[in-house]
Amino acid sequence: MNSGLSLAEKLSIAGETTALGLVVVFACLILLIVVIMILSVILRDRKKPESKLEKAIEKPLPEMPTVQVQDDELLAVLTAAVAAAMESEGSSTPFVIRSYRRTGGSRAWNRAGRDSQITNW
Amino acid sequence: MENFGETLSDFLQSTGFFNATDWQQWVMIGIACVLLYLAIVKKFEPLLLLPIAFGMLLTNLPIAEMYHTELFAGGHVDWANFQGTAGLLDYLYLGVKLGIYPPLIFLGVGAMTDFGPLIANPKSLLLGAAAQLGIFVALILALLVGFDPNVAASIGIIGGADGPTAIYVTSKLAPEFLGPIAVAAYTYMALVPVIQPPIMKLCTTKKERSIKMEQLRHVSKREKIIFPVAVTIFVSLLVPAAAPLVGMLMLGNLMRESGVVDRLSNTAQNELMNIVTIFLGVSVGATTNGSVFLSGTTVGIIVLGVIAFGFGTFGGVLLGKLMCKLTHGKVNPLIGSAGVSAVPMAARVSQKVGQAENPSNFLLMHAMGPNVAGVIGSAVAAGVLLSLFG
Repeated sequence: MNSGLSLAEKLSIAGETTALGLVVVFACLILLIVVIMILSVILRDRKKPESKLEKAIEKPLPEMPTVQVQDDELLAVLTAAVAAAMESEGSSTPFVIRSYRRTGGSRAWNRAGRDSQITNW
Repeated sequence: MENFGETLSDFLQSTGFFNATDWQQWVMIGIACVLLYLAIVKKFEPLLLLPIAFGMLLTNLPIAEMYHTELFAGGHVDWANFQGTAGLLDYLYLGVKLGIYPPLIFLGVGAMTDFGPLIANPKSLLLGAAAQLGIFVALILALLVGFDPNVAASIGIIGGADGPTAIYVTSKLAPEFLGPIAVAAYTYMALVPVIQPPIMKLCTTKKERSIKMEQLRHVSKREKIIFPVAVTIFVSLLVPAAAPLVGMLMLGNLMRESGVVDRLSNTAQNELMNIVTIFLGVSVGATTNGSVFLSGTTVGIIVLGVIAFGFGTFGGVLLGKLMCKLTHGKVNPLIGSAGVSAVPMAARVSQKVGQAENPSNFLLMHAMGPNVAGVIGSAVAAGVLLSLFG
């Protein structure tokens, strides 16, 4: 364990390395802090309209009247339909249908048909 | 009958028992067994210590010729004689010597790391920088006790508390000391829960330790995807020598966060990481030749290594205290100690010490920020040392 360096040489190497090392490490990480902050500001601005939309979606849905008489067959059909739709979207979250409610007649189907005619080309 | 006796005597003379005249080899086999015990029974970083210890055992078996120090003498691979003499471990060691394994390990580390806490609180990068203090304190001390500057730099990097980084730097700067430095680095990483708490408690008051920190903000997926790309560009431009480590770390992270290459991310985290760990461990263990390992130098490296860890912790906690003062008590200084890397052990230590003071305090996620910043910090410090002494 003898490097053959004089004490002055050792101290100068040690001082230079330490000063340069710490300065570079701090400079580099401070630069990263600036980069992260700029990125988060840019990305946050763009997110604003999205977050409004999210809020709208997150509004609690009006409480639905629960069906008193349970129709097992209808429940099975609804479960199958939801499962098929979810599977086609690649989601596999398990679910249980707790309530269902008839919406305004056949308008939903009419709209779905019209939408598919308009958007499919 | 005479013929049989001759054959038997020839056989006996070819055994390791007959040729084991070097006491150092036996001592090394003993040390290997102790390290195996520490890895298996005491669970000291067993994933690496076990292969390292076994590599140590293999390389010190008399006349088994599994590893040849002379092929790598002087820091260069002796390609002219390589094919003729190389054994299994020589071939595996090429991955260390040529700097292939540590960046591949970093690829897996990146794929396993969530940089979310760091992006949510970018100031924690400062703690990751301050905790590199240990590297430079150990380097200064190593120079003063008479180590060559390149060896002193390799000893200092133990304070980065990052095994692959330590191996990467040492294989380039002081390959002859790879064995003791790797063993010291991994042993101390396992001992982080023993080394850090006393220093953390010594530097902080009871009030500081029980500070609760605000919940971290949500980090969007887009931020997490852009982060690795930005870090790679900026760090590699500033410290080009850190590019292999930081680049692979961030590639792994991008594979994880992008969500479009789950198969690659899984392979990097599991199969690839495990394969490389085996190769890295065994071949690093193989460099622990008795004549090099059993010397005062190893003792010096071990002592300086623990000093490096201690000062790293001290630096992190000290800056944590400063940040606590500046933010009027919003930062718990205990998260500073996690800046030494040693992911995720150091962050767990911050959590544990904090919880000892206030059982309802959860510092883990706050400590993960400095913790992953420490990985980037030690890679940058490694880059600086490589460009200065390489």
